[in-house]
Amino acid sequence: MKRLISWLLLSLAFLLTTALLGWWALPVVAAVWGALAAYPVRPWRLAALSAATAWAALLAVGATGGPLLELAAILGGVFALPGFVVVLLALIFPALLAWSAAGLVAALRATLTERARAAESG
Amino acid sequence: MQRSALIRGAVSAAVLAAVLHVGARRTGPLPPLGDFLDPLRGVWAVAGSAELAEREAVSLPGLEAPVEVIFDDRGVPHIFASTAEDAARALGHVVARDRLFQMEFRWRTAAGRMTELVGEDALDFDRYVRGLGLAWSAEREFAALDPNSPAAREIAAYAEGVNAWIDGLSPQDVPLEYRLLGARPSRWEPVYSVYLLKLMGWDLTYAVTTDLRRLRLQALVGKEAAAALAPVNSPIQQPIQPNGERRPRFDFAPIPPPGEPDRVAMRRADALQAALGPLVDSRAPEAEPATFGSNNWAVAPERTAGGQALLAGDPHLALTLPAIWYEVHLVIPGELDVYGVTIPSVPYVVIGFNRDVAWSFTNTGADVIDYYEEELDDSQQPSRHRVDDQWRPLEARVEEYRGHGGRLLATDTLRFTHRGPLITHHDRSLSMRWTVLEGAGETIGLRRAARARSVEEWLAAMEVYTAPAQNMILADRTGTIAIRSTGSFPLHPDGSGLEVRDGRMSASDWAGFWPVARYPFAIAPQQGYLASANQQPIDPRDDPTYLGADWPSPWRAIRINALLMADSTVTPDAMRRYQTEPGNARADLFLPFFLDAVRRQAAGEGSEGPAREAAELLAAWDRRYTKDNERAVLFEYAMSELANRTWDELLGSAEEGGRARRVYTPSSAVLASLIHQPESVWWDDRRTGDVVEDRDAILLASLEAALERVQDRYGEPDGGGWRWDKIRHANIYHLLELPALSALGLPVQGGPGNLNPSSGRGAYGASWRMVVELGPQVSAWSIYPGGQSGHPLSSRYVDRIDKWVAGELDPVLFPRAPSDLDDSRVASVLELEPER
Repeated sequence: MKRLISWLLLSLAFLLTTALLGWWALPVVAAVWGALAAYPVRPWRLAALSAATAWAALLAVGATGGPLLELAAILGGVFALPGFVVVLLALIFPALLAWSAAGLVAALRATLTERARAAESG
Repeated sequence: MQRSALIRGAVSAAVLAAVLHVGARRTGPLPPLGDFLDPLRGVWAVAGSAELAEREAVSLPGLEAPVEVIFDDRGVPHIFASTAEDAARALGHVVARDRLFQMEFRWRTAAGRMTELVGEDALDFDRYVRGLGLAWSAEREFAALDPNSPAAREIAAYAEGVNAWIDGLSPQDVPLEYRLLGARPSRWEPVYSVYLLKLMGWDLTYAVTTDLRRLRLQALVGKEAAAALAPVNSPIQQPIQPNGERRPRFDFAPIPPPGEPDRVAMRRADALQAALGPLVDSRAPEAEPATFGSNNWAVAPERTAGGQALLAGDPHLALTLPAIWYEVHLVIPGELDVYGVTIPSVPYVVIGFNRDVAWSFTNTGADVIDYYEEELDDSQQPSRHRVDDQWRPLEARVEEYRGHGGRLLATDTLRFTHRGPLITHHDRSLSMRWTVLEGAGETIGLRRAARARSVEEWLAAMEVYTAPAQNMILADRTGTIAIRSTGSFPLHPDGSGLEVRDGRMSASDWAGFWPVARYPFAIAPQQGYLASANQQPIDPRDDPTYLGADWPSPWRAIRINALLMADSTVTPDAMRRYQTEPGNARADLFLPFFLDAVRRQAAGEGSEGPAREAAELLAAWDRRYTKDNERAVLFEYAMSELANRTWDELLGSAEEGGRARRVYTPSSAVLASLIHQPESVWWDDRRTGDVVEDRDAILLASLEAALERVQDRYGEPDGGGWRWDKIRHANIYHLLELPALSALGLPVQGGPGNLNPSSGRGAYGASWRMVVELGPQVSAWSIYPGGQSGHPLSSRYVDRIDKWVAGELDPVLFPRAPSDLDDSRVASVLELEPER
């Protein structure tokens, strides 16, 4: 249940910051999440999932205002890819951004925490 | 634990850096993916703007009074304004909504500023275009316009309308192409409207390579033979200005045998090629010279079923998506009520009609370019050129080429003599004089012509028009029809425009231009109809003054004249049918020669071979290029073989590692002349050693080879593979040549020499078809290949293509007031309000 709530809240955070600030807000939110997530939880997985969820939701909203799948097919034609791959890319891109930013910060935090522990015990 | 965290951190950092990089920076051909994929502001937003709103009110800066724009169900905006400037402002706004990317793409093409949009790959192209001087000329022309003149004010108002749209762009309004290129629309400057007119001039009159090829021909076969193979006057005369003859006249003169190679011509061709450098068109010379196959014709009331004048026009240009034209109706009560097509970027209707007059254009194709070999004071940094032993200053212009984000890519200094741009390459300098660079009256002419009330008024209005020269056909409501080839036609000092001239003498300069009174012209002709199809405008027996050379073969002119002569009760629907009529004067002329050659052979030595089989197949052909026709393909292959075998003397030396290419291909009208000379030495195929062929031998060999090739490629004659619609297609490429945004492989009725011609890549064709009946109420029908919207997702992007392919036209709506439009035909209403 806690993970479900985290996922929803984090997705909402990604969604709002994307809407307000743009795509580059994704790694910032993910980094904050990576820094704040309860240690030793692995925050990058949820960050990736939530970022993809947020963009999927935004795309779904966009699809109500115009022929999004038709556009995906055209873009697929332009890039010589199946249309669904273009949609997939639009989900993989935020997921990778969030995964890597959260992962980087979490790794830094883990390193620092380990060092602090080592210093305390040593 | 610490070690794994470090590894994970390193991997995450690397992935993050890579994703941020592709997100923020372009990677290869890809735009920055962050902005591109953003679900709200990125490419996906484009899907939300495909269709017109049912009703919309917009505040438009600069408007003096409200303007109502009603889009009908064909996507045509009917603009009801109070002043000409408001109409221009509204038009700019409306066209930008539908065609913003096309507008920017085209002005950048003319200005040689594509690198800023598409990157460094376009640098060579930009250098080439700037070397032509189009932007230099447009800027001079615009600066010379009186800023208080109506034309200048309307061009400025148009720019304001475009910029109002650009300034208010939401993410969803930014066209898809900008997303793909990772670019943003730039603001519109009034001078861009003039750029676009220059671009049309470039498309329609720039023929630098023709001069070079003619020189190469002379170098190969001598001056006398070259003059016959590339004649100043067409060997088949049915001119635009009627010459009093009811049928085409064949001025077939013996073609002198190939002479000795002309070394002087060879040196001059090398010099010209070196000096023109990148300006030389590298397209293969194997084909007959490319021409724009436009048609127009008008029929006087005494030869129409309805007793009213009829006019038809179909200018043939590059087929593109979005289309080159935008259909529009402009109304200013008491001043203007004009319908037709405008070039997106130009605030005027170019081809169309008003309540009294209709008009359409075909390209004249006159020789409007001359080259001058110049002597400069310094080969590296010249500042002067010598004329009549006096040094004259060169005008210098520093050109900067910038890439994405304004990064400086290169700098050039272009120089201009009093004649025009100076091209220096390998220490040889040529200047170019070209009427397109001197044009000045196009906007004024188009503006006035739209307001004309009669043929005479229209002709007077267009007297200021200079370039590109056009065969302008007209009809009015009183039943008058007229045609005039209009534009600046240089008076060349030696009566010919075929030589590179000595720039050191002012006597080499043009002696002026043809006066309007001498333009090829006809009004209310006795024959009751007029037609032009790019043929030689005036019979040299009526006026031998040099106007140009190498005129397109007049097959289309012959065909339309025959159709109009045979029909004394022409209807609008017949006019429509003629635009895609499948008959072919070229086939009518050549086919009997093929068949007779086989007949003669059979009568002599007898024949059971493939030539006879091919002849039997062609004998059953109705000589029509309909889509289901299964014989036209064989004839076309036979014609191709015939040209290859006949013009073997015109093969140049084999290029390294490749085959020899023809330096020049005479027109099929010249081939028609030769085919009447059965014993000419030109028939001998020198590649066949000691055998000496005559005409019939070449015709038979061509038939045999054609049948073999067609069977190899398309199977047996009645296997279905020979259908014309499986072979001949129109291809309408998107401006960026992206197949996903193009309409390709469209089967068409017509082939080489047809009224609806189709050849080569299929990328040229009827860019607009219009028929107008000038009765008490003007009725009109139109179509063009594409749609009003440049948005690939719009229902108006390619909605007209099916009808265009089928040769059908839509009846157009021509309301006098908004209330005349039936609600059921209204797709959208845009209310433009003055800014408060």
